[in-house]
Parts: sequence; C-alpha cells; structure tokens
Amino acid sequence: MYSALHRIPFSLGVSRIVPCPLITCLLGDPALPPDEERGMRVDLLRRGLVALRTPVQSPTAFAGD
Amino acid sequence: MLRAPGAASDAHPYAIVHYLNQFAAGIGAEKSADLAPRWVDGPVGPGKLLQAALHPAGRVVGTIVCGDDYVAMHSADAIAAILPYVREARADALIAGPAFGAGRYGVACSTICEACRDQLAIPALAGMHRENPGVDVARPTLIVPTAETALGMPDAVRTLARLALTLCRGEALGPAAAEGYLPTGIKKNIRAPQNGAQRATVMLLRKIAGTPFQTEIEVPQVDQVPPAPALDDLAHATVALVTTGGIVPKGNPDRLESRRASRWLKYSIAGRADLSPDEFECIHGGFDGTDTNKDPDRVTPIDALRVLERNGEIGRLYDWMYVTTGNAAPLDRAQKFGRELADELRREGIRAVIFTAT
Repeated sequence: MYSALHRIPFSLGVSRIVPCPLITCLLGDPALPPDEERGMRVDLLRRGLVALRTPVQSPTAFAGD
Repeated sequence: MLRAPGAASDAHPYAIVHYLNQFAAGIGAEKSADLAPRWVDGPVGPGKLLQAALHPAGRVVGTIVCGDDYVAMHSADAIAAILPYVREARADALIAGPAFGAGRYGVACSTICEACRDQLAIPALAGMHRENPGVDVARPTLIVPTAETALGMPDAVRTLARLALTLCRGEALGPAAAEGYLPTGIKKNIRAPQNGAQRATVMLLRKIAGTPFQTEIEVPQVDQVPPAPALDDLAHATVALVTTGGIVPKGNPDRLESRRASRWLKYSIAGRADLSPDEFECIHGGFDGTDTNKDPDRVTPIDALRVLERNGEIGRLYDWMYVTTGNAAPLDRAQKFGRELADELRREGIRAVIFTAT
C-alpha cells in the first residue's frame, strides 16, 4: 500500500507499506521535470516490488535507501 | 503567578492550550494545509466555546494552529515547534480538536497529544469521530468520541472540558463508558460487589433476554489480516492497480461520491500508456487534487507500471483498474469493499496489487 499518511496503514495492520512523500501528489513531485518525476515514480513502484518479494510477519515499511 | 500543581482558583484558573488545524482556525482550507505551526494568544474559533465550558476553573491561554499536511509530512519538525509553545504557556493540559470525521486532522490531533504526554508529561486529550483514523495511530491517547460533523461541537466541547479539568486536578478518570471517552486499552483493577461468575451470569441472562449489557472485555473490531506470502515470480505475475484516490473518467460519469463512497468501480486501462488529464480526473474530496488533475498518473501510476511491464519486472498489468474514494469510509463498508475486491482479483488470477491510498 502506497500512503503519504503511513501511520494509518501501520495502525490498521497493513503488511507491506511504501511511504510516499506528498499527500497532494502521492507518487510524484510537481517540482521535478516530467522525466525525473516519472523516474521517481518507477523507483517508488520498484520499492513495491521489493516489498512483494519480501516475507513479512507484521506491518513493514519499505522506504528505500 | 506561580501556583501549586493541582490547585486553581477563579483568579488563577488552570491553563489550557488548544490545538486547531488551519481550517478550524479560519486561516484557510486545502491551500493552507501545509501551514507551519503558529501560536495565537487566547481562544480561536471553537476555542471560544471551549473557553466557556472551562470557565471558571480553566481558561484557554493560547491556541496552536498548524496545517494537517504539515504535521503528516514533517511530524518531527511540527512537534519540535509545538512543544515549546506548550511548555512556555505553562499548560496544565492540552486539548486537540475536535476533528470530527476529518482524517488528517484526527491523525494530527493524536500525534500532538502523544508528544505532549510522552515528552512533556502534560495531560492531553483529543476529540474526533470513533471511526476517524486518528483514533488508532497513537494509543493510548485519550479521545472523546464526537459526531461526524461539527454539528456535534457543543457536546464534544463540554466533554473535553470536563475531562481536561479532571486531569488538571490530578484526579483519576473513571471507566471509559462512564466518563465519555473511547477505551484506551489500559486496564485498572476495581473492587466489584459481585464475583466474576455472578457478573457473567447476569450478562448472559441479559443477552438471552435481548436487553443491553456492558461487556467487561471489549474485543477489537479491526480485522487482523495475515500478510500474504512473498512472491518470487513477479516477472510472470499479473499485477492489478487499486486505488482509494478517486481517479475517474473526466466528468465522473458514474457519479462516484467524493467522500463516504457507496461503491467501488472499475475502468479499463487496456492499451493505455498513461492516464491523460484530458480523459481522467481526481474527484477525491479529502485532499487538494490540483496536482493530481494535472497528471492522474500521480495517483494511478499507469505510466510507470508500463515501464516495469516493458522491462519484464512484472508479467503483465491487469486491464482494469479498481477505484473508490477512501475518505470518511465507514469501517464495515470498507471491509465489504475489501472482500468483494479480493474475491474478484483472485477469480481473475491476479497475483499482486499495487494499492495507492490517498
């Protein structure tokens, strides 16, 4: 689950969480040029793929480096 | 002006600091949601009702106003700015909200209460609707349940003021149901006139007779869903996109509600390289959708998923995306949506879901 309010999925017990930077622009950043913004979006999705490949027992954030 | 803790008089009432978001303080709506914390002397907006309810034993010495998004995005900075205000005001207690059904406001109220309690050892309590996501983020924060909208302001303020004054006096609160707060999960031993077997028998007889009874052990209502096993063959998996972000075809032809959605919908994304702002829009009523409307891929990232599909990092992106709005969703309805979506996705052979929750 991608969320900018990641305390909520944690408290609800969502197992795999990717924190996002902005509430008003969940998987993006209006300050970036379009190409870089898409690259950031691909990176965020790759974090999701890492999450899906990773065994978890309880709510876990996949925040990247 | 020093006075002994636990003592107040008409001349030296207890000092209450009130926390409000930008909207309740009348500073602005979504455009001001990233407002940094500021201090205002005395009560503001709903704080005036609170002041009246506290009088004469307590008074609102000041109000901290902060944007909801600011607390969410910069929690540590927000807390670092807010706690000195509370300390310098020599607050006896902090009251946050009431936030009613507003989710981000509720989360902010709980976050600030938790910081006051843990870092300043100052009693703090918040008001919000019992299904506000803020209820669960910072247990055991003391929360007064309110109506879903500001129509419930008078009741909420009365209870918040009464409980705050009890805490200022250093008195212990009674049980949650009797005092009017949500159970905090903290158990206290009390001496009951009847033993456990007798009390259980009374409860059972009431249950059989269909008359109301009060359980002594509340069972948590949130489902515990076991995490799905890890996937090792994503390169061959069909992946679906699900969102609570309210992305719909332009003009919202199916009239999806912008809050308290009554249903979920699905829209074809077959053959689409991305979602164009000319064809799709965000109708979510819980955040400022300006940036999302400029590029809906910011909530439903079709463009980036196509990159992963092309690279073979996922097998295939499923041809349909599933959409609802998540804000102010009643828990039972959200559980129903979840069951229905899971059934359909499983039937369609979907192995994984990218779920974007705004």
